[in-house]
Amino acid sequence: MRLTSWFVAVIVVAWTHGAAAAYPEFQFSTGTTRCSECHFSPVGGGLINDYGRDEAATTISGTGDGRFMHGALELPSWFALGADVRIAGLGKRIRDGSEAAVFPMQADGYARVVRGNWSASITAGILAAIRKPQPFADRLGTREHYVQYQTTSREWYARAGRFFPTFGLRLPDHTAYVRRYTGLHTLEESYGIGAGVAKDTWEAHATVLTPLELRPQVGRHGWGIALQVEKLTDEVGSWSLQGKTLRHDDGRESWVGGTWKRWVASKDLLVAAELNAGVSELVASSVLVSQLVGYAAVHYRAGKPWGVALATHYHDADLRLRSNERSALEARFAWFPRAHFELSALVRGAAVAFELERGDVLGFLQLHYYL
Amino acid sequence: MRVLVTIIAAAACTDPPPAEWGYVYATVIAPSCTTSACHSTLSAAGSLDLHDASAAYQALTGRSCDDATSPVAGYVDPEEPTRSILSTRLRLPGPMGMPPNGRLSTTEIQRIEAWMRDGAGCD
Repeated sequence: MRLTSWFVAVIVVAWTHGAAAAYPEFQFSTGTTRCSECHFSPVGGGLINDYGRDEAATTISGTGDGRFMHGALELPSWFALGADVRIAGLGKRIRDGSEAAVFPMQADGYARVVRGNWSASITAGILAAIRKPQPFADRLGTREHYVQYQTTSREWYARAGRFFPTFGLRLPDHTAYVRRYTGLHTLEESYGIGAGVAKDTWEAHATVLTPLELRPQVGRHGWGIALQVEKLTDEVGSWSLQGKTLRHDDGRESWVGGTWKRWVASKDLLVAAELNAGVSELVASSVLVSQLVGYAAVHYRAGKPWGVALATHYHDADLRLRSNERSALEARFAWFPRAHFELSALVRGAAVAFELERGDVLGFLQLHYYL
Repeated sequence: MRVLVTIIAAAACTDPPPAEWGYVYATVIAPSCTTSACHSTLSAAGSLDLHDASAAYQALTGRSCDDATSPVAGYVDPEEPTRSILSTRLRLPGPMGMPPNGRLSTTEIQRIEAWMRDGAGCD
């Protein structure tokens, strides 16, 4: 019994801390071409703006009032609030055993204050560490907070604070290999300075990463830089090139790669892919370690309040090691019955060295409400 | 460009990877064990904080990287690596094995055991 309870705790925390993020499948498929059309953040994710709230009610769900508190409270134009709450259920089958759990996945609040071209944004909530007994106050924290300057035309921006560097597809699922293995897993945001520009057919983003830690942080932090340049193609797709390098206590890690997205309107399909190659130089070793991580997905969205997707993940932590690869295949379903509500399900089968014997099968159900 | 050249060279390389702590930590422990809900400083599951190479070395072996004289203990057993606590947990089938999500490959576990067999140094 004790072991069972412990395992439930393990799988619970393994899926907690889910951060609110953009849904890349809405890009192009809903007529929008940029993340910043629906999000306050110039690179997407987090609090959605008035247009995004309206789109959630009309284009995506087709019903409901997407405004803050369903329109019951109107905030001044210089002030925006929001919240995300997610409850999840998870079942897992691994060799010689299976388990299930229901758990709170996310409880975050958002605030944004604007004065002229300046704004300050914060995401704060419960950063549960449920395997480590802590006073409730110690469980509270802020995953993202920054001050930003943006030109009136919204073409240029610069921001300073704690946030993820702009890199890759920016998937909402922090367990996606292209996030997990490139230093973008949940709560791994860094303090840094970012800047970017968005033109009609392209945009570029740069982030300088710093080793600053105000509280013990998750992941590796140090001096580094991340760059991404994205080119829009005929308003139905995009491709990007990206790079990231980080010097931390154990060495230096560098990634180069790219993304590709294409909306095939005749089939109601959005195809998206990301591939990154990495090299780690280790302080304690003369060895260079090379890695490869990839993701590909096909989303079906036919203008309905639901969508399905098939996706595959791949990661090789050291190309010199044979029988070392991790891969996974997953099916996802998301239903947006009315504005503010989402019900999603995922089934993922993962393999090690393409053998299911050391892999697992995961079923995941999530109820998401945003204020 | 340098990254791409290194990757191509590494992919063609057939030398066995080193049985060194720095390698084991960077390629196996860090990516598989130190996410926010697991053995990060934030969660320190099982009171085990593996957030960087030296902290992880001390937590797993019971001695610091600066201490080459104290015997290695704790989760590591250089005499019988396959019977060490670390190896046992990594090889354990079912949901109690580690990591609970994304199990290690046999070659990765063998690399950890090779490091133990070579004395479990902090190199």
